[in-house]
Amino acid sequence: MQTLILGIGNELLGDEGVGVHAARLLRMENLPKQTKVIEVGTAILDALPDLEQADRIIILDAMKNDQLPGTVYKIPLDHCSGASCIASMHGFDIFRVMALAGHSSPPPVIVFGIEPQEINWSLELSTSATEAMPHLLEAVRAELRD
Amino acid sequence: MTTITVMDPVTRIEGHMKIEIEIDTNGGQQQIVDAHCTGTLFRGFETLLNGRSPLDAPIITQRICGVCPISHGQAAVQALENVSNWLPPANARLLRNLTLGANFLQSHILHFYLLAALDYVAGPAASPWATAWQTDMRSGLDSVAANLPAAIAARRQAHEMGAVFAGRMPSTNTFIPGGFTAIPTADDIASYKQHLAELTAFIENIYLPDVQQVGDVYSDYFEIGRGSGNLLAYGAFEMDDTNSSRLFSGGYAESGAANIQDTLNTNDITESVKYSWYADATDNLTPAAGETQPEYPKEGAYSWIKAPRLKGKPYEAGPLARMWINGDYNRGISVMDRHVARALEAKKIATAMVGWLNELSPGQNAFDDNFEQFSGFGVALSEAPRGALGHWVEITKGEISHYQVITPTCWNASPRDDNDVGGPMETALIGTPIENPDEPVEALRVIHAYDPCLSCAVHILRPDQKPIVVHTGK
Repeated sequence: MQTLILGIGNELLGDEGVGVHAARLLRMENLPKQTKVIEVGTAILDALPDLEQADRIIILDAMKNDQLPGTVYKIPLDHCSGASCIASMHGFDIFRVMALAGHSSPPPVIVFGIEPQEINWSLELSTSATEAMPHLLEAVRAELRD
Repeated sequence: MTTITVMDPVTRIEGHMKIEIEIDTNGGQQQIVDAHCTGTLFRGFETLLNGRSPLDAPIITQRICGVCPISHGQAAVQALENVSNWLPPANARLLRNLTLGANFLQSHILHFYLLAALDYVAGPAASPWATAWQTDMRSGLDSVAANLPAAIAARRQAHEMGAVFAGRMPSTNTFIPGGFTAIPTADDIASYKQHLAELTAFIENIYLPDVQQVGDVYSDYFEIGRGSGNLLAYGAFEMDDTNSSRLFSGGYAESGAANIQDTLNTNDITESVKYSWYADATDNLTPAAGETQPEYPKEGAYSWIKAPRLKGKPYEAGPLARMWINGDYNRGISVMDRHVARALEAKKIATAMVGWLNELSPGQNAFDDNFEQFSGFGVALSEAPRGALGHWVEITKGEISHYQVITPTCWNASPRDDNDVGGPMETALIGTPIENPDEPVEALRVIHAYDPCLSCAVHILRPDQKPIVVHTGK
């Protein structure tokens, strides 16, 4: 079974890039065989070839759920909302890319998110996101053990 | 009664654009009576380049646009090499042509099937094909709609083809002043050839017939959206190492004249900023002297696009202009002529690409170690899929001291100029019949035919059901 982990977000905008930071850390770990980690950033469409081959997908991203900054969430992707309309090809989000992947039955997609503290010009994560990171990584490891 | 309809953003284009149209009944026909095109994004790439190494220019300018980055890579290296009064070795010329050609093919296919076709045919009832507006969708084009998914596969093929030599698409690192960083192998050439054969079959058997069919069903669009009528091409795709001929020659034709002027003096190009959000002190400068000084807000201004003019007049750039100037197409200037010319151009380029592949010397260097980057002034006039593209550069003591880019969409989507004359797209919109002012799909057809590119976004996931809280923040 091919598991794909995608780190999504814009790492130029502080906590918006938390998924990319998490993917970078996971890549240095000894993960189970047939697990692939990609730092997708904002180029979600570029992950299409890998998405087409995955049997299970784990997404790491910032998630606004209006709880305390640094809160770590876990939720199936189909319980998240996407924009109903996009203005250009630059608006391609994970929902649209999944629809393009052409799976006859889409694989399960689990999202792990961190509630952002600060979304603004920065290559660094906020203190809340930094403190939450080990919890996020442990939750992903637990998911991989299942 | 006059209705004003604002489309902001205009969808299915590259980048961010607003169109405001005034609709009224004139001679018993409800139609567009006035139009304003607004580029809603300040880019500032030119300012970004100041003080940088010349080597950065092809890398950074490619980020202007993800659809036609190769055109910027090509224009940037040619401008830098022009400073040194130097021409690249044969393999570099050919590899650049082949990479640029692959980029043109993917862009034309993308444009027709993913951006424009949905103005004419209802796509499959699934994402991303479903459109919000369904006004005036005529029947008889089911076979075109059925080809939409195949077009995605074809575009992917074109990107894979481009990456054979260029390493990656869309933005490549192989375009550097002095040549091209890859050496073509016999295997690469064979692989490229295979991709090209399949793409050529798509263009001939699917793309061209589909455009023709859309033209048959919407034949009234051969009379709609003439625009300025003035056509401009800079030319592109060098055919020999002395730069004496190109696949597309440059030139211009005023009012769609057969009398084509093939000598283009770039000093005849000026950019008006009367209606653009730039300082009035920078009005009507030639690109060599051009400045990017944003001023927002500014009284009367309505666009981030400047208004380039040739000898004071607006000109249309794009496949129709290239094919017209080169004698490959002369039926007329309209919405549908732009689509037909673009498809015919795809075939012309694909055919030329076979020749460039055969000219390549396998295993031979495509970079000249003797290249030396001089200081001074350089210019490159080339073409992007959507039209004439110019880069102007000045290098002082090894650093970029001045950079100006005029993109084809600056020509096509330009606002009014100092004489209050509108840009080609604004002019083309006026007179277009509109059935439903709330959903003016006819205006979209006029806009999309120009393949505008005004080139990004933050996407944050938002749950609409309760997530499991793995860890609580503080």
